[in-house]
Amino acid sequence: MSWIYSYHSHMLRHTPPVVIIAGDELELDNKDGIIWYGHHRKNCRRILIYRTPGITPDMFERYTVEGTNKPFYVVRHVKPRWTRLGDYETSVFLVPNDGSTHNHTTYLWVGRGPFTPIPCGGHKDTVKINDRTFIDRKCYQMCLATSAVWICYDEHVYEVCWDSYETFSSAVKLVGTRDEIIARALAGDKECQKILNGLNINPQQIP
Amino acid sequence: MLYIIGEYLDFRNEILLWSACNGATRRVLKLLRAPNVPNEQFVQYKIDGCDTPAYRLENATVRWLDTEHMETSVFVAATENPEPRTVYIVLNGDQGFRIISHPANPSPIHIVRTSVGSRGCSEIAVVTAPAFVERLNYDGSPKDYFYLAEDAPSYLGSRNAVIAKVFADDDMCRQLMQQAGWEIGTL
Repeated sequence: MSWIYSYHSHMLRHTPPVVIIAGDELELDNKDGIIWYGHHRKNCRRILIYRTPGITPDMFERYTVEGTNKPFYVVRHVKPRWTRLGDYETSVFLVPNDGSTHNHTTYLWVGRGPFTPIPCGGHKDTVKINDRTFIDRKCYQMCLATSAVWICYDEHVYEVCWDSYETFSSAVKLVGTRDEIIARALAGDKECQKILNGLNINPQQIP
Repeated sequence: MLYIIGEYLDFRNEILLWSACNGATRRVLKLLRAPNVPNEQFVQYKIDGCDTPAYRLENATVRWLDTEHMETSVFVAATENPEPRTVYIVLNGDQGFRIISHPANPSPIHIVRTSVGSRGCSEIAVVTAPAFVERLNYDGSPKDYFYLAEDAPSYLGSRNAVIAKVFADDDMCRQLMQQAGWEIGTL
């Protein structure tokens, strides 16, 4: 019994709930608690991230993706809750958590879209939310995933992957441009081939 | 065998070898390589009679991608099983070109894309040998001709040079003249 308890407490200490929010700047000191908001016009979906009263702005550690100016935030001891109101609204709430009921990392990617999330593990079920405000050439979009994902814009692919609570180095990495991914896939890179499959990109060849 | 003909390639870049675009809203043309194709695999080939650059690659294949946002990317990748026939990637960053089919190869073109702007007409094509290339002047008139053969490319010269060679019983130039439909007046 004791070793089970010990193992359990070890897991709680080493895999506490972490939320990674990447892709866009957050408005952490907003009075209403809305730290990110995507909305285009009257008849399109509103997308929001709320900071509930127990979550303070100083809990958000801000970093930048190396090689780009894309921001990302690491929020510890937090779990997400979400609700979708028909075609009108998608809201994500950041709620305090001690890790006892929710002990895995969640990934939120927000910002201008369209972008395509591809689960690194290949399980589509890991993407819980993938909503856009307006389907057009430009839109706001939010993706919430429960495991690591590749986020693919037209030109760039980012990997959102939390490595460790203690030896944290970076949670978001720039994998490469679309051309680099295709070139690496053609050279036999399995990871890039998975990304191409996820994007349904299949370069043509001489028949 | 794979040949790349028409423009100098930039080997300083790991992936992108050549690109052309004639305006912000015009198509972007790119030639790229997979990381498994080192610089040494591109062997420069001198075409007699002209300064047009050409590169020969063994054990290489070509793939391409057309995207909806006006971009055409042609990739060169290393392979153990290259195409049995000689393939040419034809590039032009100036005024473009026209592919003229050879009687032995009625449909040589796999892809041809242009980026037309007010100052120029860049072009990229993937072609199976044998075929002819007619480079164009700024006004769309023919500038000169190349023969893309199974073994290597050769320069045929201007239209008048080709016709002159026909009178000297040059078979290759006669085939080009027939395919291009030139008419020679006789008494």
